[in-house]
Amino acid sequence: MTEGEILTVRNLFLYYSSRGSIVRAVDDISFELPEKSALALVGESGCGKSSTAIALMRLLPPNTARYEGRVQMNGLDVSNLSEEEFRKKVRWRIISMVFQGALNALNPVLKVGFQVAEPLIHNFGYKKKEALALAEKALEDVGLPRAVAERYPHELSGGMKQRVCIAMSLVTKPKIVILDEPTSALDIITQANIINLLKQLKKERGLSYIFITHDLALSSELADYVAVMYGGKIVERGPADDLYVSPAHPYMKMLLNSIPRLRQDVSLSFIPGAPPDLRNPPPGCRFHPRCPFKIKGKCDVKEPPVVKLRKDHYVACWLYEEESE
Amino acid sequence: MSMSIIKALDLKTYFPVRKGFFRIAGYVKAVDGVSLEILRGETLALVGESGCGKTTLGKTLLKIVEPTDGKIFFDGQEITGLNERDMKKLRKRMTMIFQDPYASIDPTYNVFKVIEEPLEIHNIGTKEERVELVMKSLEEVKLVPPEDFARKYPHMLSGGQRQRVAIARALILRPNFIVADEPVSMLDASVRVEILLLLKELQKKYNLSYLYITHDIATAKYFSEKIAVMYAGKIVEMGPSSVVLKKPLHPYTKALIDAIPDPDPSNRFRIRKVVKGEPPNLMDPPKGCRFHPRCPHTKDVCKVKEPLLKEVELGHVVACHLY
Repeated sequence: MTEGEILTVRNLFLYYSSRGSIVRAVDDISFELPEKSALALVGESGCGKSSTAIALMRLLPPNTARYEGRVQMNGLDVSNLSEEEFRKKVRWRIISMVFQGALNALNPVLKVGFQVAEPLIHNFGYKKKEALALAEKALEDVGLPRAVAERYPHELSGGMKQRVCIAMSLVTKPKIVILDEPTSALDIITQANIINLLKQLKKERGLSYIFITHDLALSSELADYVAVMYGGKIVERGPADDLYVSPAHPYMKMLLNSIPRLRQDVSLSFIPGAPPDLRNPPPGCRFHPRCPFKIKGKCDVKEPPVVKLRKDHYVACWLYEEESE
Repeated sequence: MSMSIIKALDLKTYFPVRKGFFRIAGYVKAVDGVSLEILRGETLALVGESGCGKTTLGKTLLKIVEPTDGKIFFDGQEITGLNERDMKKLRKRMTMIFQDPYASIDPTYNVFKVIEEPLEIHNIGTKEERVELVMKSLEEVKLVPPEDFARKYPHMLSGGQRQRVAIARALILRPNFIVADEPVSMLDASVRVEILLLLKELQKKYNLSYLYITHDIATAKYFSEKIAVMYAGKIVEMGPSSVVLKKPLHPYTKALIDAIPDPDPSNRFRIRKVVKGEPPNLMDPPKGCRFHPRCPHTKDVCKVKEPLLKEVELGHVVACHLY
């Protein structure tokens, strides 16, 4: 691990077993996240973004078939921690998460304040009164009135509920927060409000984010770094300023060309074909069946090398074989 | 043949809210005095936040929901007073595509049956002719080879493929007018363009008209000739897409545009300008201009007098006291 990195992930795998076959959802990925910065993890549905989050949170489903890799968080090697230690020291303490659609998963019969306080009471042994006071503070920090603590979820709007979910992820004072499509159920204006809040919290608290989304326009709202996932692998990663301006991987280029732009006149195109079946991914580069630049006899046979293009900018593609340092 | 395929005049759709069993406590005024016209081969994007009445307006135009007041003309013929039997003949010519292809397609039907069903309902063709029509329509929506897809069940398809099935089903009766209610918002960003381009292609081929309902003004820019912005049951601005986006007049339209990011890494250094508050309760909307409690330019007149749509330049109308 290098100085100033809050998260380092090396060779992370997460496979599931499903009806007799193995789903290779996260298949040997490595990346790092500098302190106080945000990494956008982008890609189409089913590319392994959310599985990466689950692997980092160690919230593994019962059908997990393979889970391995080295993960360091906040200077601590968490790979070999027992479940007990991970629960005590890491989950919610160092890394927490806002789940996709969580705003609709709030418990309808519990007051909001108690729901925010719950992890403090159950996981960290706070007294109820103490925890509720911290929850109220957390609600205030995400721009809600303290009185919301006494409300039930149905009394709140979608935007307010999402704020509650963010308060939940922050009440335990983590360093890293995983945001899994945190605005996908919200209206455009509410989305902008939530993004503003996330920007402000990042700055005020020095938080680091892993921001999971399929929307490259939205990801640019927070991302200092971008990692592009395809078929369980990271195909390109690097600083946002690099990736948005001069993307290298054909997949990232095509993905960018599919995003409508309000303030620029560019024509849109799409990526023909469909993402691979992770039970039986294509050999070689997983993108080769859809890639207009594929080199026969190479891309369809051998996995591409990871090439360093510039500082912190890596691409896994045969087209850049010559440029490796 | 009329130039306009659908036209609405001062359309109102109110839903009664009951308290107890009989007493009507009030009305949700989902559509409250909307006039619009869509020409043949044209797309009108209807943009606004959830709960502004977009979907109700779409359904009312198709008479899936009965209007409370106002008039609807389809291909020059008034359909507001028609009974269901007379409507059935017209139903072939108008249809709807829904937001959620996971919910709008019967999971127990295979793709063939999903697409064939409208033909059956309207008693069109022999079995052989129907098979041919279904296969042709699968090809049209690029689910090839069609024989393979015809046998599949919805759960075996991706979101994009499912929406193609929904499109094939909508098109099988060769309609003139389609209400597409957020047809791409559940799909991946990369698949959205694919589906929108397909809808465009089919529009050219069959001279279709679309009402494209969306909250995403960015896709509206690429997909529609005209944009109508709806707020709290009313259209507040309408005009050619390029004009509305380059020169938005209504503060609400501006707010919607400001809220949408382009893919630009410098976004992370800005705090976006956002209007305060949330859309009003449609049972009891604010007096005067319905946007006034959230508007950064509110004047005294906005609180008391409702602004009417006014043509500011050719084809560009806005309902705002600033103009």
